[in-house]
Amino acid sequence: MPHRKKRFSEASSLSHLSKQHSRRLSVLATIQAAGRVRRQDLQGSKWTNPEMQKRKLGNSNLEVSAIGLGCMGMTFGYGPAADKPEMISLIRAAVERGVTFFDTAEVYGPFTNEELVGEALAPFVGKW
Amino acid sequence: MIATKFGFKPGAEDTSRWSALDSRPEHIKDVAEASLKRLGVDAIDLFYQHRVDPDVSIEDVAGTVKDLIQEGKVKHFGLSEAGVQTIRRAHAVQPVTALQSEYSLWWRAPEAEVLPTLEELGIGFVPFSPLGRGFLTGKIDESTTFDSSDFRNIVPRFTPEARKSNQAFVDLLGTVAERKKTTPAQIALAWLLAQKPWIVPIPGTTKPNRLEENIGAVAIDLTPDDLREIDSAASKITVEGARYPEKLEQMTGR
Repeated sequence: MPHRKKRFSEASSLSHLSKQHSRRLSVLATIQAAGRVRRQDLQGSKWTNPEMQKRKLGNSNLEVSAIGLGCMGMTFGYGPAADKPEMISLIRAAVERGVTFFDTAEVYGPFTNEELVGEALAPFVGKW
Repeated sequence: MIATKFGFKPGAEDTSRWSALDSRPEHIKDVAEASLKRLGVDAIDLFYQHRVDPDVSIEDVAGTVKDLIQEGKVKHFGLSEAGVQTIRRAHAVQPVTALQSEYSLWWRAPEAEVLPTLEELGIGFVPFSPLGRGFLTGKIDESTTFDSSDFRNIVPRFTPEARKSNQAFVDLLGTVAERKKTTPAQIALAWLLAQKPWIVPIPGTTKPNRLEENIGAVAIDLTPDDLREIDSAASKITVEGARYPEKLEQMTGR
């Protein structure tokens, strides 16, 4: 794998990535504490993206990012399961980018996809 | 926000494949407990019935999820690939927060009945396979080969002949993408976002650069002229091949 497993030593090294919300900074700090996040996961290599927008699902008060992350294919359906630490990094990178909507199912695996999503999002439970 | 789904179980003949349905109330409650443990959360934010189970009334399913909500184990109720009558009946027992079904430029069946019903009832819509299982990215063509365990090997829409024919969708997205200086995938996602403000697509990926590309679709502004052009061009293309093998299609729209 070409990815370097570089960790951040200071939250300040992330400041150029997110300047807008203290909440988001706390998410970054949580990611940093969780470790295993690669620099290239946190930076758009090609895209300069704005702040993620939010949408409400119908009349409910459930507000989620305008684009969610479907996790099925990380372990199920489209060939062999991908590398688990890499997928955990990917899901956490999505959190950093403002994604707050993650999709899984009991039958994906079965079970392994829920376990992956649970492990990846454990640092953020109750924080969004 | 984690969304998960219940309602499948191992098949009677081949127990290694979860091809059978089971939405009996006691099963839903067991799955909820097990999913809470696997996810490591106190409550499931959004709990979908994965497919409608013809052997269990939808009122019983909705009532069971209502119980789980009252117990604090589930926060929101969802359905997947359900038909409009089922959506209405479920919603009458326990308000449905979201329907998750396939929707993209090459699978527009929800436009006929489902989307108007969701709008009327105030239910959100979560399109799965918003990039056509990868096809609409333009990175798959007739010469692409899939791993033997890849589901796309049994999808009629993904036979090499069908891929060749369906390339017209990618060409259409590519034309618009070139003008907007972006990619076919971003146009495909932006088109979905432009349909209704309560639509939230959930593209999947295993690659960080694709994650960024998908997320970047929120910044693509399709004008009414762009949307008319896409609709007009897409309406002239006939999709080759079914989206599912027959057995799986039969589990939808009920």
